[in-house]
Amino acid sequence: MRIKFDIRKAYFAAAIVVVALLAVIPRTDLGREYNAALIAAKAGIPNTVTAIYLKNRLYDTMFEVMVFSISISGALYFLKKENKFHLEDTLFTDPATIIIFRGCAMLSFLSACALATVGHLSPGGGFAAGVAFGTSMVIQSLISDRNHLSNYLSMERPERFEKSSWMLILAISLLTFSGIIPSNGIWGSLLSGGWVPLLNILIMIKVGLGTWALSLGFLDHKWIF
Amino acid sequence: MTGHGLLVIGAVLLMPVMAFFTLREDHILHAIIGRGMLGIAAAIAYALMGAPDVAVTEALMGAFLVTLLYVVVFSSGDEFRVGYVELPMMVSKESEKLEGFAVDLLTEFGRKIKVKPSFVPFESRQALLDAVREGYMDMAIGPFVYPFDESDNYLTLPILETRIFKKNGGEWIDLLSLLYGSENRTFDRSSAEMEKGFYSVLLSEDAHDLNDILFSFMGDEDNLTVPELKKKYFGESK
Amino acid sequence: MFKTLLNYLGGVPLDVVFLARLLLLSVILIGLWGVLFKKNLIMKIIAMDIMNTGAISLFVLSSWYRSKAPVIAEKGSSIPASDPVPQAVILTAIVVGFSVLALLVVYVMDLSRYFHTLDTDRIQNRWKR
Repeated sequence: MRIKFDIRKAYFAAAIVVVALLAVIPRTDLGREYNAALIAAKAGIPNTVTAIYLKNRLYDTMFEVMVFSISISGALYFLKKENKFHLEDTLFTDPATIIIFRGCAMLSFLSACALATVGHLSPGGGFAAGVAFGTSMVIQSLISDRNHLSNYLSMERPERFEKSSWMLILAISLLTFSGIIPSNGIWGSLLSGGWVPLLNILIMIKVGLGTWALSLGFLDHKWIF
Repeated sequence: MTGHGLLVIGAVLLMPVMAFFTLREDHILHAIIGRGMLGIAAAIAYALMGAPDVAVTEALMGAFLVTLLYVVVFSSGDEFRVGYVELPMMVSKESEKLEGFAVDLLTEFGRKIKVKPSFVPFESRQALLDAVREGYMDMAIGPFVYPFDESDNYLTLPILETRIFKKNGGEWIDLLSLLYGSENRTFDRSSAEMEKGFYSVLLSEDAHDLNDILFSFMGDEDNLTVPELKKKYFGESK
Repeated sequence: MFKTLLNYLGGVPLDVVFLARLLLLSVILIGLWGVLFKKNLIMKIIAMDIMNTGAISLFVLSSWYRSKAPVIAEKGSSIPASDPVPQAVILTAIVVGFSVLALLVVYVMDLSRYFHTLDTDRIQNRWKR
């Protein structure tokens, strides 16, 4: 045990040295003032961040979504193997909490839809929308009666559409790479910019269903040592 | 430093402070709340730096989803396991609630050190002894007495004195099992000799920190738990 | 004296960005300290999460320019704005980082179920048997 403690301290000292060296790296300005305008003009979308990760760097986004689905399916594989302890019928029973949670879930779901559909016009985008959607479903699962609504909130619903939505994302990415893109519409309208609005909605479905399935797996699986 | 730069520095300054105080907590739930605070501070910093997309995603994910999920998952993280074999007046399960002298003692102990005990039933003594030896259970309560159940694999901590009836063949039985136990009524009391012994809690060897705290808890002179519980369960005599 | 030393080291100007970068690197260092020196497995996971947040913040810091969001109002206008490329890259990384950490949580749950404890010292002792 003595030797291990010395290695940890040496590791931490080396990390401090590396961080001190990182802090004094000179910053180089690359003339970044005019990048954003050029990207927006080329892509036809006001939001340049969405234009980058859904048009210029679509290859990167495709594989990030693949990493996401692989890790979610891996976690679900381990979570379903164990014996399940059934949760109590509801986790929260007093009506005030139920009303507040339902209001929060509705707000979260509405914001998810808003973030996804106008994600190319204003800050937002598919990933934030997916997280908000997953959160609203988690809140719904916490308050509802699992035995009554078991067909609504069971694991089958997210799992049925999760992989097929990723296949759709893959298909549209391949279409983009081969050049078949619908034309950029009017600047700033809802359907402008090629495949970008559709990709936003698909990413929202993918990420939302993934976090929903993961949260249901955690909730079903009571953790007793 | 202009005014806006000062705001950004203020928001960024919150982040190491939150991180430091999150990692100094002992209780897991406090650390999870601290993680949520770090997420909110990061979202403020991102919004002030002109990155609204990242700020919305970080606020939704790092402060909302992560906190919710971790609180649900980790809420049962700190407890110690106590196995029991039923012995009336010591630990018994009538009317669906576990009650008894040892149960109350350990619950009071758990309240003092803020770690909950969770009680797991066992069928036979031997199974429970094996579990304690392997470290599967942290403690064991029930019909275990001090001079006879001692072994190298686990520690014993005496909590209550009793009388043991011992036969020449090595078989022994303690007082409460004789009085209340249902399966040992055939024990022949006449040919046995009486000795003094202690009911004890068996402790697994792996739980070092728990054992030290329990020993100091029992050896504390100001501790009134044991006499109170004795009075409650056994009356003024004995 | 200190300023001349730093300027000699790389021509780094001492302004708000430098101070923010120091603070965010210290967040990563605090996370690393938590991973190395904390005994509870869950605290190690939370410390890893803190390191993740620090790294993300460094990306966003490198895209900071005059605090203008990279959203162009009209076509063809060229107001200097923040750099959108690091923001786009790190936006996907936030969500993916969370999912990988969720996988780690599942592994820790499995490990603690097998050894019936959350303490790394006890797991090390029991592993030897």
